[in-house]
Amino acid sequence: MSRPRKEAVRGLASRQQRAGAALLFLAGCTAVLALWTLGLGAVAISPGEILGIFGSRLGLAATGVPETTRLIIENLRLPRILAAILTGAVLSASGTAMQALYRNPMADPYIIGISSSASLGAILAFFLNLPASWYGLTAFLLSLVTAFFLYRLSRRGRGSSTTLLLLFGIGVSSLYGALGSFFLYSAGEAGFSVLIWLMGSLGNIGWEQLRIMALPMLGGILVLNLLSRELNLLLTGEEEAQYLGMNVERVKKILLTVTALITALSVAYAGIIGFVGLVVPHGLRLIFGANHKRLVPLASLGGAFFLLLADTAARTLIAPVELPIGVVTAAAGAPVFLVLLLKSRHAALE
Amino acid sequence: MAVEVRGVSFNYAKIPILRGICFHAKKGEFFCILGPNGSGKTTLIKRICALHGAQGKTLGGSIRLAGRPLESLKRRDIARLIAVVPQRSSLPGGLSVRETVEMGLYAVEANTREERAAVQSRVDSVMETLGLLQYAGRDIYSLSGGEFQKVLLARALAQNPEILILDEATAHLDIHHAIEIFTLVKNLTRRKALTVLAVVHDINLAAGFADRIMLLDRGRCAGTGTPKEILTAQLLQTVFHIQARVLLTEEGGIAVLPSYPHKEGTLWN
Repeated sequence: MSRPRKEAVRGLASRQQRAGAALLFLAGCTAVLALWTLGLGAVAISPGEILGIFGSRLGLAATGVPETTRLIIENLRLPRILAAILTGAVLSASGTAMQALYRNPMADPYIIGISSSASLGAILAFFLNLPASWYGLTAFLLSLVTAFFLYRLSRRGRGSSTTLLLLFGIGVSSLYGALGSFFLYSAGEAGFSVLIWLMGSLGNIGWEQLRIMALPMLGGILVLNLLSRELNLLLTGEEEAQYLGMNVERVKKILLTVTALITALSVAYAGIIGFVGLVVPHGLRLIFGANHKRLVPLASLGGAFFLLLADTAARTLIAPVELPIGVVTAAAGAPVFLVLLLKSRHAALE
Repeated sequence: MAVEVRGVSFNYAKIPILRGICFHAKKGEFFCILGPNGSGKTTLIKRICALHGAQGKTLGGSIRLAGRPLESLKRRDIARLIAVVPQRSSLPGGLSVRETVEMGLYAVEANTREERAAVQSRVDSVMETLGLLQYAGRDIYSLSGGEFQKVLLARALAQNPEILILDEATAHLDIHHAIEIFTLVKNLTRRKALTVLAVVHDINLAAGFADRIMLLDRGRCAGTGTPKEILTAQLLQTVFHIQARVLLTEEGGIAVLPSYPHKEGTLWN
């Protein structure tokens, strides 16, 4: 092996190792944060007690932890924390996928109309007095219909179809936003609770909701991780991706369906939480490069950690009042985002 | 026959782009498709790769790649036969040279460990041939235009194709880099019997490298043959609307010397 070759290979390997280390680090941080934040709240619970509860669940040891403490942990805080982890991973992973699909760092499910149709779907379910478990379904159905309507529309035009898709998405977003507002205002008092939910909160999520969300979300994240090569090829443009042998239309359909599904579920149960899908993938891309083999798993874990952190801040900063989580994600995300942009010498913004 | 195009016509948004194009390229041949802007060169390449575009319509004709009809081939099969080096790529930064070259492996089948090792060593040897190994870990954004174009060539060669298409691949490079890339490719036609379809509008590049040239004029074939047969003052006048002298070079090739209207006493007056 010649010398330059060795060096080059080493350079690349170190990039991969760095990403591997970051993955482990993020996983560790998320676990520690989850353990710590389980203890935070109106009733403070020590990590020892928490571990005791889990230990007794696993049949490892009987503990002297009071029943109320166990209920607070298991029924109130644990589902919420799991929801934060899942939702964060979903938003960040779908943001990553959308940015590759649209070859635009500004793209995320919120901009291209998926989330506005999801929230309109959930609002409709609310006004039709459907049970809460239906919110996700109506949200998903409406966002899926919208995603494919936009997709078909963009195929009819000429020129760059992804740009069209983006523009159509923005148009449809505004329309759905207006419709949603109309419903809310015409509902009067009842609309207010919906408005709060739309601002984003993980506080309403219990085991019932989590049961509906968990499998599709985990599945969706897995699919996006498995499509990392396809996402890489999308970066090079649709025409070149086809020259390289990729069935672009099929990949686009899969990406839109999966993203519509998992984003709709997150909007239906956690409301609209902005900035996660934009900041987390973008920041990680600036540090670790654009290869989606690294980026998608990093973004999934990074989003999970970021949203868990934001949710912890939302419920503790001005306790007992809870902040809408969207306020926290924007307040924390935006400055980090700006610093990253200023520091980056990358062309990832092109 | 590596590429066989028979009577292909094509409309885009009801405007005729190609009219009854016929040609074939033999295995190991360096075949140039030469024509001015808007003569249908790139459209022809897209047809050969089965890229339609939303409003495109093929009106009859047939295309065969390595003897197989194009309609019978899936996207992945086509990519195993043909690789394309585009004029530019819209790839953003953030990928290393090696990661970009490895994009060419998407359509390549490698299931066993031996196959994967063989594929990796092919990537190594392609990068070595093109002098890219020392850049392997570098971000593609930091490369110059000439280096980046070599990365795109390496990506295409990583596909291990039978046919390589250069779609104006050197149009924005300086003459040194253009000749360097064409020379690398020319050597591959000799060493590996690679068939090359090179779309160019630089007449002298075509004259210097092509075994045969097809001259395209507003969607029609204006002639196919060796550079000496095709690059005549009369055909150049018809197709490119220039006055030019065709000179014989010492090595037995030809060179085209256009004359310029603003100079007195030239052929334009």
